[in-house]
Amino acid sequence: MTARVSISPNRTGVDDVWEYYEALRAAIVQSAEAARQSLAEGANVEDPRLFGMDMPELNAHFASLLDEADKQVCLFLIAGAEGAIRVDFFERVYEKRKDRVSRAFRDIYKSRCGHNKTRVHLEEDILDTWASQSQLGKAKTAIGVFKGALKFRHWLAHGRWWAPKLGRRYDPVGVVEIVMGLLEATGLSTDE
Amino acid sequence: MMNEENGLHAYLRQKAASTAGAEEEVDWKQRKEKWLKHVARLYKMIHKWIAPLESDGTVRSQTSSESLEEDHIGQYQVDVLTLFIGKQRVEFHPKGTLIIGADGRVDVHGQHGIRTLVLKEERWSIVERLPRLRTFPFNEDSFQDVLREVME
Repeated sequence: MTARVSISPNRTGVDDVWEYYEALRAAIVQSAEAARQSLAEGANVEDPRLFGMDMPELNAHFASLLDEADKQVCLFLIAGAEGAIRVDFFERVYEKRKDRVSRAFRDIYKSRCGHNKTRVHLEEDILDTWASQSQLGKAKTAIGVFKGALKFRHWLAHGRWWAPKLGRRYDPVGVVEIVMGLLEATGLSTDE
Repeated sequence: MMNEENGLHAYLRQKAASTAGAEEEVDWKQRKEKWLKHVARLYKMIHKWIAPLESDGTVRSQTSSESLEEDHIGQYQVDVLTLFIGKQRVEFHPKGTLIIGADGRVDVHGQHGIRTLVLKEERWSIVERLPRLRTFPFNEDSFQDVLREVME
């Protein structure tokens, strides 16, 4: 008998990541406002990381922090969606569900017998199955758009060492829409 | 309905009063003059350290002027000191007096890097950021270190 994948209860959802993002962004904006006001009034700023900066540098510093927060949150959102999709794959397989997608997943799972079963490929095995089994053009599009966002996720997760050709700009709001589109297309949306 | 005197009006009155107070506390004209005086003192100190080298032609110096613009102070002219050492040049560019944690800053530009000098409590110091922020006095010895770092 093959050992089952142990599913973690500590998965991140869109709501969790978004709450973190709003708190992080608010903290950065608040620090920036306080530092700008203190500098403009000639008052001291205690934060040693800001020591020696003038106003343009201060603005650039906080803009860079906000940009970094955006990128990290995009990574968390896409990774969270990947987690949800993978968990759904194993639940469908283990519960032996009878729908077409679950049957296709089971075939993929069986074909990996003798190999490490956690090595199910997100794009070829899971997303492409969803796209091929889906009757709705909207769902196919949502899956395609998410696959595009995975290029951004790989670039972020692997240290951003190459110049990415992404074809569009990704920001947290746009990525939430992409992730929600995917979750809706795969029946995993919690917004119902 | 919200009591305007305790709500928005009170908040805006408090905000206006606190901002006005802060503006009055700083004499920006005096601050600019003090800052420029310290820049002049810094250059005088450097000239003293390099005087023997200037005499024998090893180092040549030149002072030019550039424009700075800062909040509350506006646009003003400031001296830039350039040292010519062989084929290399080292430039001292004042950044301004509105600097976090200091009363002014001068960046030392060389072919191989930039070092930062800050004016704090009437004294010039060199800033080092890594592995953690620290400052140490700018004197004849540390001046040599700065030159070595920006030129090498």
